[in-house]
Amino acid sequence: MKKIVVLFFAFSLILLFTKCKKVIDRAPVDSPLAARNYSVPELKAIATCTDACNKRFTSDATFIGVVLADELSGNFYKEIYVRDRYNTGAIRIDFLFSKCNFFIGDSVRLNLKGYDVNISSVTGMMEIDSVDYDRHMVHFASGANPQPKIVDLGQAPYSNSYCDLVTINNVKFLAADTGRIYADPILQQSLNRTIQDCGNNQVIVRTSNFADFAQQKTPTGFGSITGIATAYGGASQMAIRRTSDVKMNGTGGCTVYSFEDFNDNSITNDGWGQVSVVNSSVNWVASTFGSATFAKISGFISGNQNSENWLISPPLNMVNGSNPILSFKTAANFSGTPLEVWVSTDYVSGLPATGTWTQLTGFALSPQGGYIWTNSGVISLNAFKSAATRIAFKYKSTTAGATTYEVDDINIREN
Amino acid sequence: MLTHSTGLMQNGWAVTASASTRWGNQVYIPGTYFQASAFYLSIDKRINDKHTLSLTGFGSPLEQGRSSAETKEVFELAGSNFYNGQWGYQNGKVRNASVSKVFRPMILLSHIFNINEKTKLNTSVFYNFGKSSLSGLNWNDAPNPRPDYYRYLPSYYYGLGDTAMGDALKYKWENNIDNFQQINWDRMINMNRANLYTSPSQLGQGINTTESRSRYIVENRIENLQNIGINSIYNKRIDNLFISAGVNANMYKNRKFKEMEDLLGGDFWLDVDQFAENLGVDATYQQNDIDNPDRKIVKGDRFGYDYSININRAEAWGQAEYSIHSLDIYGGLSVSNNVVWREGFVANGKFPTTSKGESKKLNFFNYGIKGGATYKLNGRHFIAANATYLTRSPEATNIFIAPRVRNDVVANIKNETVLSGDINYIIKAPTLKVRATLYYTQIKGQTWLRTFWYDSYNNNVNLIMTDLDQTNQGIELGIEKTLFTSHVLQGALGYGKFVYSNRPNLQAWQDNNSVQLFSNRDVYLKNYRIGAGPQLVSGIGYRYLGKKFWSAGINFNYFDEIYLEPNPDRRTEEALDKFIGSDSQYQTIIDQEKLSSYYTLNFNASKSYRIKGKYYLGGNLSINNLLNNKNIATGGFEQLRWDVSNISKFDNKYYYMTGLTYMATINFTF
Repeated sequence: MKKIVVLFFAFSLILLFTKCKKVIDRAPVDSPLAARNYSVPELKAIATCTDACNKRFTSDATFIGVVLADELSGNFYKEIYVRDRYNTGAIRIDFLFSKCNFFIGDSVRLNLKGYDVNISSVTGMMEIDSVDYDRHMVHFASGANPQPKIVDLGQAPYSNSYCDLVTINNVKFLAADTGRIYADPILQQSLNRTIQDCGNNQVIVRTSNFADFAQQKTPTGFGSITGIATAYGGASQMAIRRTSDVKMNGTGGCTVYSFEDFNDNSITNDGWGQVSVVNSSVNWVASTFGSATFAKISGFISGNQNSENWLISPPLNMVNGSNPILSFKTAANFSGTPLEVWVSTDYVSGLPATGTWTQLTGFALSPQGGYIWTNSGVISLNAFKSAATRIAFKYKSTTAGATTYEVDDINIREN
Repeated sequence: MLTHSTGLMQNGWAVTASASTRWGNQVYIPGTYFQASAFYLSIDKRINDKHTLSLTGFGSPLEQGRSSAETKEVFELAGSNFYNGQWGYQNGKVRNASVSKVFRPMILLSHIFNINEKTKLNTSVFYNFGKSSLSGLNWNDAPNPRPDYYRYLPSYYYGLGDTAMGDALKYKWENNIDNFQQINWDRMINMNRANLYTSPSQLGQGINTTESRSRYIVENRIENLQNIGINSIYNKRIDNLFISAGVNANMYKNRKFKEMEDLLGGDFWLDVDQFAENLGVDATYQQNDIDNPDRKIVKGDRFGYDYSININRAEAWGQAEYSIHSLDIYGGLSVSNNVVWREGFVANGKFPTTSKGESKKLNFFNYGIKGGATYKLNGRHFIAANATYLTRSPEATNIFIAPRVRNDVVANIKNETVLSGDINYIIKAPTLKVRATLYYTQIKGQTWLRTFWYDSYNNNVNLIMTDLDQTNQGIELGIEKTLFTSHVLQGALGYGKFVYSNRPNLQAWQDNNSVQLFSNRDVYLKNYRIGAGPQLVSGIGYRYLGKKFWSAGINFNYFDEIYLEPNPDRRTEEALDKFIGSDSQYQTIIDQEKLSSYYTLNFNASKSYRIKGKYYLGGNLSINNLLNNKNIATGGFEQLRWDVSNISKFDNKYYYMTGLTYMATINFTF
């Protein structure tokens, strides 16, 4: 009897213990949906607001994105660049302390409460300043492989891509900057090396003397470069993450079919010529104003005259071209007929009517007043590849109006 | 070991003396050693039938070279669970930086007064004194000399994304290039010899070219204890009532200071707080002793800090035991009072007004009541129950925020309360002994204080929990059954649940200044297990008693529910502020690690011979961990320093059980 009591006693106690599972305390944290998430365009709207708005976040808010550039190489110090999760832009995050644990491909989340978002007055880039990553930033996943965006310096403004990871194709370092070290760790100098594309647009590749690749030499060839689009004092810059992102060993170059800057003070050199269709007194002439030399035409000779005159390029062989484009600059004054641009693949010589011409559209022209130099932008000639493609600038004036047009830097090339 | 007892001699004297010594070297763990001796002397004088005086003295000086707990990464890099980061070669010889020495003898003078057959009064006076010291490296203006410092591990560089450096370190560790795994004593000595230092105050006298200032030293952190007290107990039996009462009082003074042990080739060490140097515009701020600034310390000098913890205690208690029929009951009551204070003996630059002199004297009044009963079901079966409620003062080491540098006390320090009860079922039969116990203890209002180095602040941090409650409950079962006189079976089980049972309050201070780092944070600690060893211990054993005074036995032990003591700072809402529930880091940070269960097999045997009727010769062999399992982590801890952005930077540290060990003894009694 007693033994039964004892055993019952013992077993019930053991059972009591094993069944009695108490819930272990958990320190509370926020749920994932608690805070509002901001994209880069939304941050930009806050950073650029002008009507007494608040650039500081005062309530729970987050910025979530993927890291594009980290401190590993030494080229970036106390900063990372992060593209937002919606892939609508990127931002620079500046830290209080270095040696953050965030690397390229990490998915990060920043608690914005208490921080400001600003456009830096020195660089023009958008940034969140003095972030304490230990207290406010979490790396919650890794392994993403953010791809660079391809940018065309001639097309959209470079500033649209600030802070993002970009690739610029068809570039080459300037002659003075080829085969030179990226930066000087011995003299402790960060250095600028300039690249140029086929539209003569330039970007400064700036490297810190603390970068582990600083002493490597810039390549001498032609190709593409990938890095973070940055800026300083209004000048477009780029910071690279590693030298394997610089793929500029090609022997090719900018294929230029024709580049006419009229600096030889002649309309008819280099195969260019003009054909007057109406009123042979109105002609294209080489003209100088200040340091610029350009082609100029005006239908005003003691009053507005009727006229039509074509400035025609030499025949251009773009049969093997992949992406031929046209770009030029214009400056204009006085109202009249807008300048037209036409293309032909069969014109040979004489009056333009002897060939078949297609009008090109979708480019920018200088407004008819003030002689404001305006870049046309990039006009694709892909549909007009032939062994003898011709570009023509067709000028017209009437007695009602005769605009003075100046044309310069006519660039027909592979983009 | 040698023991001799005269027994009570005709002249009324009785003497017992014993002396022993024991030493060991590098049992599995390199760099460790063990040297201990013990002595005991007791002289009794029976004055007459009523009075006996007894003088007893004993002590055991002990010196040990210690080992370190390490992270899993370090054990893997070293290729052994017995890696010890505390030693290195000095001129080809093994030298351990962490040597612990203790010698605290006790002297007791007792008076035994048999007032009559049923009444006794025993009084004794004791004096317990002596030093304990722990040596360690200290350094200034030099790299950390510890081989297992987290920045010398590949994981630090892998965490920064520097795989090249991480791989290089991994190679050095795994191949022990130039004894990379251990302390490099020779390099420290060379660096010290080369450091010709001119102190700013001496610049006018020319550059010093003769004396070198040590960058590295070995210092001893010493505690010099003096504890003197008196204890008197009165017993009286009146039929079925047995009363006892007593008073005791003692004065405890533990003086703590540092002493220079080894300048390691240098000529002096400057007594300044090297961690306050970075803060200083004021040279006084970094002085450890503002009355003796920039003191040059040589071997044997006291430096760094010098203070004592003093506790004066008095207690009175009474207890009555009463037996009626099959029931024994007892009840007891005690009251005590502690006065605790700190006394500083040097004024330091960081706390010039609160470091030297006495702190305010804290008074803790405590009381306790207890009671219980044993019911005899029959001659062999008993049921016993006990209960107690008492208050007790907090440990002196948990009262002062930063006792090395200032007098300040943890705010609202108060007594703890303990409520405890147990029920037991006992069987005492010739061939069966059983004890089954169910117990429950609740301790409330504890204060918990730890100090650790935090390199972000370049300073020590004092982390304090107040109002900490815990619950210890469990069952214990012990059975011993003898079969056919020679076979003894034993079984034991202890299954407990020791948990923190509330959400205590957390605050933190720096050693360098009196500005609080933070206060009043709730620690979400409820039902976290207390990290104090396995909470499930069990064993079964078999022993054979041979006819000719020999025995052999084997036992199997199983241990489980081993948890690592949680770092309270990791379980607060404030520390986890940047996380959301879906972040994997959140779970990793708050989880409490449970070690794997393990079992061991032990063997022992003994034999004794009787020689010539009055001499005995005996031998004993015991073998532990018969299966030579070297992968048993017996315990460990979470590091108090942690990085919220990289939890594996300061990983948990573990201790491993040694493989098979054996001990053989021979004893001879004459």
